[in-house]
Amino acid sequence: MEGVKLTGALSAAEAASVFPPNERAERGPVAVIECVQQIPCNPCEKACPFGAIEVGPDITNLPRLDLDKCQGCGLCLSKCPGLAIFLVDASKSATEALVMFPYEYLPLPAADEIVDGVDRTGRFVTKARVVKVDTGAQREGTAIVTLAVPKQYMHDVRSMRLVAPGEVFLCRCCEVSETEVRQAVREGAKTVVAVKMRTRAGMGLCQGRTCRRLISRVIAEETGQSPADILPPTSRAPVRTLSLEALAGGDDNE
Amino acid sequence: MSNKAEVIVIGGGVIGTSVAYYAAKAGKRVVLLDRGDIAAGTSGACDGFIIMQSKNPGPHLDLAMQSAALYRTLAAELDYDIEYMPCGGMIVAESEKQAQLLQGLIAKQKQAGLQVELLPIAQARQSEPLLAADLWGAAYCANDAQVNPIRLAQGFAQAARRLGAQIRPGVEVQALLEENGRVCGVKTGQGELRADYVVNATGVWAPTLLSPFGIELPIKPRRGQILVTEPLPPMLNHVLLCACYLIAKYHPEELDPTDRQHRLGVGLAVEQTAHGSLLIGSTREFAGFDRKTTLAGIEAVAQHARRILPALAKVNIIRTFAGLRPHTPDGLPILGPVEGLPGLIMAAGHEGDGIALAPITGQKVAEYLK
Repeated sequence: MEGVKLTGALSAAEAASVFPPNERAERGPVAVIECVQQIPCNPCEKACPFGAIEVGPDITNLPRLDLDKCQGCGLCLSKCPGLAIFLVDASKSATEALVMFPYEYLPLPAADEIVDGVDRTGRFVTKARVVKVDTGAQREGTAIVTLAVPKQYMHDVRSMRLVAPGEVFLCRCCEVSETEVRQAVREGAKTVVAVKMRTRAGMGLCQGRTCRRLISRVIAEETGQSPADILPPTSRAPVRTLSLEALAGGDDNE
Repeated sequence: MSNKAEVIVIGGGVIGTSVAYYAAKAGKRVVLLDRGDIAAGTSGACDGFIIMQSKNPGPHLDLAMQSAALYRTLAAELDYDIEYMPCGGMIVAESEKQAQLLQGLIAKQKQAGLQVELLPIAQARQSEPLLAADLWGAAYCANDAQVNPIRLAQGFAQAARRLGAQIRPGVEVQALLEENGRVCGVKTGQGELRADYVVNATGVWAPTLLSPFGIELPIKPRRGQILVTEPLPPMLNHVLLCACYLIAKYHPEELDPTDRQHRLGVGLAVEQTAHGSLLIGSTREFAGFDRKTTLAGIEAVAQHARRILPALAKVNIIRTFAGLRPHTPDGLPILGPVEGLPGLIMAAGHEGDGIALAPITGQKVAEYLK
């Protein structure tokens, strides 16, 4: 099972079919239009101030890029509704290439932050350095991130994932991060219940079954105690979720 | 720590933190002490009703209406999201008899300036479609609202701290200090602390500090058991009570002691929190200081909820909890100075009205601290 039609991400062959020759990327920044499905769409054509992108009168045509006319300005990245246009520049160094892509998640990375460079399916490819995060008005709300990656990965890295500790969720039900838990402990929460009262960690569907040990460990780390000394949270019925009518002793109460 | 304050507040629930906030706002040097943590007692184990139409016309309702007015701007004032929602509330009547009871109350509430409307069930279901079709109807009041009590206490505490108050969880007050017939401070596990005024906002635990002075406060813990559902899409438009709640509260003589639901004081109280979970309450039982939930209590609450809101039959319950409401014989909180014991100010005994009355309690008590 391969290809954008089946997986939502370009196959290696599809990706290779739209990538400009490496020599062009070595010469300077160039757009990579990863559009391989004939859909009625042409905003990229008007987006290019140099007339380098052509769709033509039949708007289901695939866009064609004139590699000589393309100046690598990157304006088309913000105009593609499918977030399918990228910019690659292999001219800046012998070992690194720059990859630019639209990024619609929060929080945004910061310049010089080290992040995970990921491929079109979100799989990890390489560690990468954030060069720039462009949130200017012409970007219309979609941030454009520029990553520096080892040159051999410029064909593969198309997005990123933050690796900051704040992005580790200790409580998955209520999406409470490790940073928030540590903050609560530093503000005086020394028990699992106190952390719960401040952050909601453990109030969700699993009632702390997943997170209570992790939270105990963070409290222990922060306070220099042994995890065994941290008071466990109060356990209350039901042990597993039960429907209201089962609790009411209704007809379905087996 | 500095061992002299102007005001010591004992208790870090919604009442104590509110008193600390309003006193600090009035320029007092305040220290708040709690043996546990902010909202670790009753305020962390209740629902978030700010309901006007359950209050008896008179001082009870007057206070509640003043409190409701404070709530409208409180989140902005505290600069803290207390999850306040002015959603309006309904008190459901199952029968003609219950409707008459509501009708009597509504007539008096209207005279006091509270607009409450008695709606037949067809009309009530237009704005609350999940109500059972065979109920009699519901009393609707647009002034009813809800809030997150835990965040309320934390919001008050943080705002008080910004105004210079010391908020000190983990400090247990063992006794009140008295000098020349006047309360002048407290003895804690970490030493003595003196102040011009001591405010007792320890809810169900309030009587303990006064018994050494021969004063028996008539506050008794009344347990309320509540069910929590999984997070659900928005499905309730109002906070909902049922008339049984009012009967259990104001007319216990009408209850049938042979009926388990009546014996447990079950009256429905349902709200949907900002996070989607429904809180479904509640029992009203005298069980000492036992904060555990019981199978009989959970079952009775679930049965009653299914009767009023049949659509909830299939929703999943993820937790149950119980809190101790500070019950007083006349249903009114004990507020203000204590005769024969100057220097001590009471702010306890709100039973089910602590959330509704928290802001006005803090504001009124701060006025005593001159």
